[in-house]
Amino acid sequence: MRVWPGLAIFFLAAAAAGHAGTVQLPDWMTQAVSQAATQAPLPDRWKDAKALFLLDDTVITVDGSGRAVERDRVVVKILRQQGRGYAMPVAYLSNDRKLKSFHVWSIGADGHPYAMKDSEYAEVGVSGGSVLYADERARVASPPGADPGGVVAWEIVQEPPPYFRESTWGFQKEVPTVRSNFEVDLAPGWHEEAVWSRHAPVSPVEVAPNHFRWEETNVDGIDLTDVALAPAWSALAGHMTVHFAADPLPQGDALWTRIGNWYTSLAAPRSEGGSDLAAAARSVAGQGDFMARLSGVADFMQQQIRYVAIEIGIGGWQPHAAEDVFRSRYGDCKDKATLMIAMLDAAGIRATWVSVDHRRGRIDPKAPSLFGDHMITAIEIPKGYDNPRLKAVVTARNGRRYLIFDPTNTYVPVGDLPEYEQGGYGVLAAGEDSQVIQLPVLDPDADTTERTAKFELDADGTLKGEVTLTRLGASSWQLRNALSMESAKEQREAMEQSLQLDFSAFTLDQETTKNIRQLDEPLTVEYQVTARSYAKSAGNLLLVRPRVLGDLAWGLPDKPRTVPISFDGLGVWRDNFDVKIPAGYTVDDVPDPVKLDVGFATYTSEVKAEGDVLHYQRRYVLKQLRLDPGEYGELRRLEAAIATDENSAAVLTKKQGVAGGGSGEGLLRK
Amino acid sequence: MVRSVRRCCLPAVLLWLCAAPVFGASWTQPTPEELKMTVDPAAPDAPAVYLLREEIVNEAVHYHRVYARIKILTEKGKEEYSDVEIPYEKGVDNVAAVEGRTIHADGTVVPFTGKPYQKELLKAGGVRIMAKVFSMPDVQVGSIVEYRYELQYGEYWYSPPRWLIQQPIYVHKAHYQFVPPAIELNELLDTDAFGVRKPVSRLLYLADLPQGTKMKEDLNGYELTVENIPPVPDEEYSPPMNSFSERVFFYYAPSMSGADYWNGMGKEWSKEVDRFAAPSDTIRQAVMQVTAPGDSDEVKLRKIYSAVMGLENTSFTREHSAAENRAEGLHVKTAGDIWAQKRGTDDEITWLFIAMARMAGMKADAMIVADRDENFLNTGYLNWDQLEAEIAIVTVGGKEKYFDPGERYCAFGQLHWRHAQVQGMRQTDKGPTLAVTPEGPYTENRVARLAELKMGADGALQGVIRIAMTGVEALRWRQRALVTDEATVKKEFEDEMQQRVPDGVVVKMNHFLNLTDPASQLMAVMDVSGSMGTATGKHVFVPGAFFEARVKPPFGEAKRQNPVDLHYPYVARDEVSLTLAAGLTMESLPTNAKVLLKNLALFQEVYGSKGSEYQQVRQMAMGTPLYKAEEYSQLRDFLQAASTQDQELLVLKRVPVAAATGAAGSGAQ
Repeated sequence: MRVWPGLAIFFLAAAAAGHAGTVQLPDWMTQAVSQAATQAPLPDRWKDAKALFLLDDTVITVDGSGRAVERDRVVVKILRQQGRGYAMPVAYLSNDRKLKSFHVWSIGADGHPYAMKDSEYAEVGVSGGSVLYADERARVASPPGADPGGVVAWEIVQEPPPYFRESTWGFQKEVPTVRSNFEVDLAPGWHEEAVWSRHAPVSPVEVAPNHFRWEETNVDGIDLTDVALAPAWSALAGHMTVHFAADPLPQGDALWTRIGNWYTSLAAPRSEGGSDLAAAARSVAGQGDFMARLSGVADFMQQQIRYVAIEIGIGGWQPHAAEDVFRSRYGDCKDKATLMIAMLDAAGIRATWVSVDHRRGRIDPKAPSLFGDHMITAIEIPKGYDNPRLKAVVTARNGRRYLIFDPTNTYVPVGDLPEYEQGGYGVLAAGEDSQVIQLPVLDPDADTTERTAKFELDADGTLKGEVTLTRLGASSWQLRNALSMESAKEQREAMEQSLQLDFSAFTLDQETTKNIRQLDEPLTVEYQVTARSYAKSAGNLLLVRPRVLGDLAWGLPDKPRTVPISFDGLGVWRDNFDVKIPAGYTVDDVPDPVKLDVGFATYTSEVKAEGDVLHYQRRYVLKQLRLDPGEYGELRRLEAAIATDENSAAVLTKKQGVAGGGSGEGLLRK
Repeated sequence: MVRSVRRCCLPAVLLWLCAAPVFGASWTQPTPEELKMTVDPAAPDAPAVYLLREEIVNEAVHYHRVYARIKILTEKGKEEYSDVEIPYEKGVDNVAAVEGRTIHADGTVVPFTGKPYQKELLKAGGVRIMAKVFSMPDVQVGSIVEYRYELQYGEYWYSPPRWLIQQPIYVHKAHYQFVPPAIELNELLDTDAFGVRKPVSRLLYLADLPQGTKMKEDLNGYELTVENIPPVPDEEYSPPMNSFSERVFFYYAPSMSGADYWNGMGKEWSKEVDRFAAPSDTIRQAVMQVTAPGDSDEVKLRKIYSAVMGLENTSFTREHSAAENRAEGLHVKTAGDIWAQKRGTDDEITWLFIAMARMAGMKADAMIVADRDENFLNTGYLNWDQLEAEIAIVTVGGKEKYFDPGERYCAFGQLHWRHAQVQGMRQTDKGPTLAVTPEGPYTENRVARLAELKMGADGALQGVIRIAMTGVEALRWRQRALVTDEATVKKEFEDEMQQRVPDGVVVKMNHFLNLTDPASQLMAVMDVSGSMGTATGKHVFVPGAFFEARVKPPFGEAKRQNPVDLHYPYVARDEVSLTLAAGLTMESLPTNAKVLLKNLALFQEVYGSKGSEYQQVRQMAMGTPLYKAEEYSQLRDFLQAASTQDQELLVLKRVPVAAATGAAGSGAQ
């Protein structure tokens, strides 16, 4: 009776049911299909496409009260099995997003037409993960005939939430688009302002008074499947956002200010805390200087407030009241930001919201928009105040300095900024002083990973030693989080899996960790490892890989690069390993040193023999977050140098040779 | 099997309104030890532990009550056990009396004062699946989270409990109680897997209890108290642990005994198979079309198998709706329909194969088996849903052979590994009976990898790779091509091989041979370029095992609790020849090695040289895929020894070109 997943599958599978009688396909669908069939051959670069958007047509009608109605029509032709995923109609609805109609048609590969009935659609909740509850749902369909060669079309008519005064036209998709139209039909006297991202601006055609139309044809898809070090897809895809309003719309920075001002007015009332909250805030902040009070509140936010999202209607944008978040000790990113602002205010520190996107590059400073998926804080630094811990600082147009801090990430200390947010853009919501800001990119030295180890090598090839891994900086949050969340057994298993990359046979002993939650202190992991057969005997030689641990290469393919290269974050990686060689052996040959500077990164490595110890040390510094596709060759040159260094062997010799060979020659071909 | 039982055929109405009143018991006072606990000595690694879990089910008044007390011990425990989600079916169930509180380590109590949110999970076909969700207030590491609720359902619904004794976290104490319906059981009707409605005969239960535990049974029903229950171990390459966890599943059975049940259900299933596979003109013509009068049984069967394998298997593409079939004038009632429409599901195609084999004069039986990747059949649990896949048994030349035509591209006379060595129900002359499928020999699953390479003095590499596959490996790639396409599979194959070969080597897929012909071995042909080896001043070091240069052994963990299931036995053989250019000569070869894992597995690696040609032959034979937990360390040692051997290096020496010509063959063993 209560096997929910099974039911879900059953009903989704059964969603395509009866289709009796003659099917009338809409004209726009048949026209899109016939136009695609009669026009010139598809561009050769589309030959491997999984599917084609034959038509993507949106019309937004805005009445005099600002109420919008959006009608979307989509026609997709499936070209390959994996193209089915692009032909799955879905319409989102919620308390504030009214779905007025949803229709689906399809044409099988054999040409047979189908029209689905309302009773054949399913509706599923879309919350999940850390979202405890959201009122958004999705109406979905499983159209008949959705095979390679088939065509699926759908039409959605909906009323977007009344508080939105912008709409985004995503004319570039993962697969090619033959024709994409976007129209805005405004009430008399209303105004529009279109901004373009990743695409040159295009002027609309005014097809009727105050009715504007844009069109794009033959748009290439952006498929990032298996592209190493790819930027976020949404940071590459061309799109246009149109703003509409009864009053004339500003442009550029002024439009950003308008957006930030709107958000300030929406969120600010929620940051007004009562006396209990203020008292608690003063208690956790203490009486110290700016940094001390800030750290007290930040620690409280990071350690006491659990991430739980509950989003109903405008609650997707507007935070819950700070008092409620404080009382329940949970909230989502905007709730956490709001409570932090309220508590800082009680502690005499001014702060405000910054709307960002965790996909660096998604927010385009040239294209003002509400678009963003995350909320963090900007904390105003008192004039003249300085502290070396204040690293993630931006200066606003009005000269105020702000420390950018993300209270949702519970492992990046105040003063620092998660590496995935560095270099991106955000909207500083500060009333009339609102503006778009670029989030700071911290110096590579602010994020360090260092491994030091002392090993002893036995004549039988066994390597034993103690390793210390030290990490400091924003990107250490992932390891801090993992170590904090994992049990001792899980930590051990994770470490064993990691060591498997460097050793075939090994045992791990005495693993200890320090400073997991002391975010300003270096995270330290110490362990002992014994690796059997680490050194390989070959005749009278013993071959040792001086780079005992750690892999810095990315596995870049030898293929032309068309999209930019994006790194997670800047940093410095250092390895220092000493290997004491067995008695009776001498070092015969060591790898050549490596010294490479490719501008955006440097890599140096050296192996030295001193007495009976082999010293290996290397240093890799990454100085740039993003590279142009044209720099891919240099990146591959760097990777080749790193890979060569990582796999290099030192040669030890013994005075008396070691016999090789053995049985089994019968297996060899003669 | 149907999980709800209706007492009569009246439409279900919201009768839960008159069900039992909500309960309002007092909370449990935490002990000082519970409050101050930071690590649980009974489960030192646990993120959280159940101090108490209670499930009370009363079918007489139609409710399930759940009460939980959970001690949060780590951040992970806080993340995973602070939110509560209670699924229910709208219009059938009602979730009531939701109460909760959080108790801090200092004893401070924070009551849950909010209202649960009603979240829609799915609405389709007149059914609406919802969940009540809520988050416990102010949960910190060290807190005790305590909540309870009651799931009520209508007077005409019966829903016997399924108690999962082993939870994802350690359970200090759990209490379970079940009060059966207050009516005669034969008033209940159950709908079986074949849509037949039958009166219930007995209340039964499947009980896998902790050792030494007994469930109390009396006139009031069933009661069980358990203590100190560890969680189910979660490890890679485990057999389906759902079949081994401690649990009690109650159910209303239509039969008086297990023998009656399996016999009765087996007959219903067998009847349905025979009806579907009944002789017809369509089948007769189909057999005549694909076979020749003079063919032997073996040849006929091969032709029939090949013919059904050529149909579209919608289990790998897309299941077509009844509407689509109607639109095409198709209907699926018999094997003949499947043949006529040239497509069917995996089970329908299997039954078509049986129908055609029978029409060709052979004895062909159906068998329905459990899926070894999901569960093992427990015949003490009278639940037909444990059996999932249809296979065929055909007598050829006086011998029974097993076939898996529902697994498209499965080789003739072989079973997919998920259907091998599993129990199921089969047809026989004496009626349906329980049986076990055989495990094929390891020689059925072969991979032969051949590399012919030439290496320049600068390390530049050129060559070709040919990989021949039969059995499971061939099936894997062929089926992958069904759900994607050939271009995608070529890329995926190339990517997989690229991860194996030495750094610097570039492999490019050239073509597949026989990707859609399961009667032939599948072959992948790849081009090799790039460079190989690491140079120092005097030497060049080259990975001794070309195909395993970057492969790591599968088991990193030193200890294990579960048995190991590697899924299928196999044999893999590599032959690599590397011809060196002038300027390089072999200084030493890796040492030959042979490693045995009792008589269950063999690894052998041999190296040699002939002139300027280096040869490596590697053979890995895994005779059985199943290992007990106590055999784990031996299995791990075996695989690590093989991996260590695979990391051996061939040492080349740089020499002047003139000298190299004369030095070919040095280092040969």
